[in-house]
Amino acid sequence: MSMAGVFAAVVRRELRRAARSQSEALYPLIFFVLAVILYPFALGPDPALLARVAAGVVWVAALLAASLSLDTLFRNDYGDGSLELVVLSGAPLALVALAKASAHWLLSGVPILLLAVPLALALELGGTTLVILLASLALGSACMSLIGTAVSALTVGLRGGGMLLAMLILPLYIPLLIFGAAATSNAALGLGAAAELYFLAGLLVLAVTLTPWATAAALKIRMG
Amino acid sequence: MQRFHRQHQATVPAAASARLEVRDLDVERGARSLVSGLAFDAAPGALIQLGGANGSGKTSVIRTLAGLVAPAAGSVHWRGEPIAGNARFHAELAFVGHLSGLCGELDARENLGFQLALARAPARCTIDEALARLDARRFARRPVRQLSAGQRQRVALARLALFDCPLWMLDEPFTALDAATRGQLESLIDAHLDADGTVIIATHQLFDSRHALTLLDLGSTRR
Repeated sequence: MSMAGVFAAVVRRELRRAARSQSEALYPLIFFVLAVILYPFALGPDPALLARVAAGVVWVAALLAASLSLDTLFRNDYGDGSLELVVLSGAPLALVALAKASAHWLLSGVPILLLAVPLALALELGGTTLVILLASLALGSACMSLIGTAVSALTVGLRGGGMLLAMLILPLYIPLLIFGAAATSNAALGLGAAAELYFLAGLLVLAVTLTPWATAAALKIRMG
Repeated sequence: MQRFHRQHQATVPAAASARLEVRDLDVERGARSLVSGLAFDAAPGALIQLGGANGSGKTSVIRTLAGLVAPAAGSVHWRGEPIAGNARFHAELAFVGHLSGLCGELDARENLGFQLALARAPARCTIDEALARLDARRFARRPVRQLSAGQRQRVALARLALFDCPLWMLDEPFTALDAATRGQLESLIDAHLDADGTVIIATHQLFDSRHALTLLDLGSTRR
């Protein structure tokens, strides 16, 4: 058992599982696209209005899609007993948690980033603003995966865990939403967005440092 | 069929420190007390059965002994050290719970490979050899989801052959096994005891062993 070996084994297992049960990975992405597409129907086709709300729309849809996909993060492992074997294996749980969050980001954050490009363009958002939106979303989605992993570990195995997870997690995502949306609206107005991006990067550093330990503690509690 | 020898294990001086010491253990589930004042020693070569009727707390007790659940009171020591956060205990314990611990989308090899990558315990053979010991190689390439309950249990038990762990804790290991596999598991347990391993089994079923068995009837210690 090496640290890198544990990390790689967890990520490889998650990717392999996603490749074999694609619906689980695909549904949140389809939800993301549909949620973004709903807004033009509600707000009308005015390009100026759509351009103004596009960043917020993409951000909110990304938050909802991430919280959907987090529900299954530990549920299968809990149900089939592999989570208790991981706890018993003596492997560093914080490292397992970090690997789980990384795999979640690869399977949810990265596809959302890619999908955000055509969706933002369709909502009349392009140029520098799009670049800033993607940068903020990249930092933000990594934070979402890390924070979400901890909350997901806390609610695994509870009845109605999915709804509880969403209720616990969406308030925690508000700071990300504030900085992400502010960065993009600043860029749209031709102002600098560096401050907001730095804040998001700072939150990411905080999340990388703290949430794996929180996840590890939560998993141990949920075994009892 | 059953050959119980209800005598306490003769102490084996060699590797005598590989001993599980359970003292005044209280196990609760929710607010309900399942077991109180459980105390025993599991020396190398000891075969201990946690018996009792359904609901007597066999699973809760073995999960407590494995360190998955904190006891309400009392202590569990391995080689003289408390088991909580004990790296050596994790490296030397092989646990087969009543859940298989296998991911349904992955096949047997991938599941065992994952366990091997995370384990502190050393492997004593290859994954294929371990699967062969339980006659599980035929279906080692099929996703575990597609296997029958008995086949899945064989893959789960292959962990015992794969890892070199002196202490085994098995929770209802005979569930869903056919007669042949049951015999294989019994001989696996005997071989482990021959090699001075320790086996703790939670089951209400009777099984064969060449070795002396200590039966702890949880039904009788229940309050």
